[in-house]
Amino acid sequence: MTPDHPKVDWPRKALFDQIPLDIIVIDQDFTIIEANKQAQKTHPDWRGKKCFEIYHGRKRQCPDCSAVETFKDGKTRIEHTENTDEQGNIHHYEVHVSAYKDEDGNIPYVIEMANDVTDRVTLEQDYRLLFDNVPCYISVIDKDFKVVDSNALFRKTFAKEGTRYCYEMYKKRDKVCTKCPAVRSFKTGKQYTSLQVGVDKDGNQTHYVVTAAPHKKNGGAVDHVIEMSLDISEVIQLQEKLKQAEQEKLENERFAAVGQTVAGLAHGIKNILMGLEGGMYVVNSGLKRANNDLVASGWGMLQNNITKISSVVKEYLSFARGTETKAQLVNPVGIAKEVYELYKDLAQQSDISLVANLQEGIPDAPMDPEGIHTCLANLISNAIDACVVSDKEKNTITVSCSEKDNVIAYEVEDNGTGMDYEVKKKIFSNFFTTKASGQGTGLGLLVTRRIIFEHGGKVSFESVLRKGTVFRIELPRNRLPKVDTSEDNSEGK
Amino acid sequence: MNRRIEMGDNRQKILIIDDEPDIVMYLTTLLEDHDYNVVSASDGQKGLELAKTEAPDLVCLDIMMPKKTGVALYQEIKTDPDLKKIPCIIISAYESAYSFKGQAFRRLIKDDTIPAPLNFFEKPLDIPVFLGFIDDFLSKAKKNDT
Repeated sequence: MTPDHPKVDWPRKALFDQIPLDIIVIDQDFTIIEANKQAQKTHPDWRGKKCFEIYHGRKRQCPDCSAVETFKDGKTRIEHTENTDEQGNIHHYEVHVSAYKDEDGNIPYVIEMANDVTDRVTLEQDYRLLFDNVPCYISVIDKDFKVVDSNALFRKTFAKEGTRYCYEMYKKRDKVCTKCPAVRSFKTGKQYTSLQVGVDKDGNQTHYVVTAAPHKKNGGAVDHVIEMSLDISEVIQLQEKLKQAEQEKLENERFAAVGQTVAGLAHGIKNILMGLEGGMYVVNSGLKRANNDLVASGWGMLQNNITKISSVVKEYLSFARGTETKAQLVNPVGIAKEVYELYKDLAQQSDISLVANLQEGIPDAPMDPEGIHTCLANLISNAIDACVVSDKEKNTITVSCSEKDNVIAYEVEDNGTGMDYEVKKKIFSNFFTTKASGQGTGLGLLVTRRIIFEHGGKVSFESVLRKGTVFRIELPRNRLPKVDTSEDNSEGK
Repeated sequence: MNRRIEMGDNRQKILIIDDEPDIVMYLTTLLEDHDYNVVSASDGQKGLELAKTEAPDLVCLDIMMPKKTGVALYQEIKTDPDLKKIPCIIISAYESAYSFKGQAFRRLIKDDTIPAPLNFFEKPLDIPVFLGFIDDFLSKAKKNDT
């Protein structure tokens, strides 16, 4: 121990002991010659010991010792060290190493002041762990778009060896991307989010939502931007699958409609068949009885049913042929207006007022205008029939067109006869007509439903006997067919 | 049966209720050829009136008719003390007539006290089966009557 080591006396002694840092003074042999109370707490047996013994359990001087350098040049240094206490807990220290100079400028002692920064380091480690393991890509870029920090997931996914710039990593480009949210963030100091498609290390397309957040040191200009990206490739894939499933569902619905058409047709034919058989029977019976009137009745039945079957077959053929929907961008309200104009006078002739209730400003939609026209005409024509046979004094039919939540809706409402349970039950599932013979083949609603299915929509109705009926066509925009361009192409040729 | 003697017509009477004139014509001719007295109605309302005034031995009912459906008419006949004993058969095209047996019929007529119809026939009719059933049933009924 050197005899003339610095005297630490009161109040300096008090300050030395009270300061919340471990302070030791070492001589050129690294022997501790003074320790404050805080340092003594953890190392009560400090006297005569070397600093490397006490703090690092070593027998020799530490290889990267800052004190060695400070003894040489007198400069203050900060080093980070860690040690393990008796309980096995690791402590982190930030150590200020500074020189004690005597009057001749020699450095006989070095003062080491150690601040226990374990809490801060643990917090930093926790943040790093979070930063690296959070399930999104994080990169910090400077004004040149150089990635200065990034998390493990980002590096694992995007950082190919030799790449330094974010556009190289995210998109394998050699210059800044167009519509880059970081560019805007640097410019305005605000946060931006956008959907991007990148390429990962292995060349796979990656969809991600990136948020560019500005980082300002000392509240001044933006010096860095933090890019946080969430991989949504799976969501996009799911979306595609969902779209496909929707398409398949639509196809199935179409098949079901065809199946019901066949069932409906069979029903119609059964009735006609019985009429034909009856006609033959009555003719034969008339001949047997030598009753000309009966023969004439039977012949009439045959003629009547042959007419019926030919009209059913014709309508069915047009139904079967017309399965192709030719969509073009048209205004949904325009179609309703057309049909309204067409039926207004016809309704008036039967003393029925036809009212149009059309929402303004519905944007154009890809639809087959002829198809939708047919549907509305069928529904209005049915409504007129329902009103004609009703016993009410005043009949009204309201045709409306509206749009809510991207669903275009048409409604045809009448206060005619309404339908009872049996009619409602059979109205779609099995095609039939309640109209007197010769007034309808029963295909109208089936055609309507088929066209609406082709448009990805649905037809529903509510009806109360003697009160009236409302038919509703709903067409979600996202299920509408694509605009058909085949005709344009053929014209072009 | 007194009325029949008064009218001088010993044939059994069948009431046909169907809105399709061709079917009425067919069944009338067919059943008349087989020695039945046939009366007919083109809707449920007229059918109910005729059931009351004509006291038929059998009713052939269509299901889908304007004004009053076959099912509603059947319910009225079976709950009317004067009419409920009249046997009814159903002739229908709009669904397989066989599905009207059992559960489907019970779905339409929820009242358990109403018995199921005597039989169901699908249009177009299988004439030998249809006539065989009617002949058999009405001849038995006649025997019991006398």
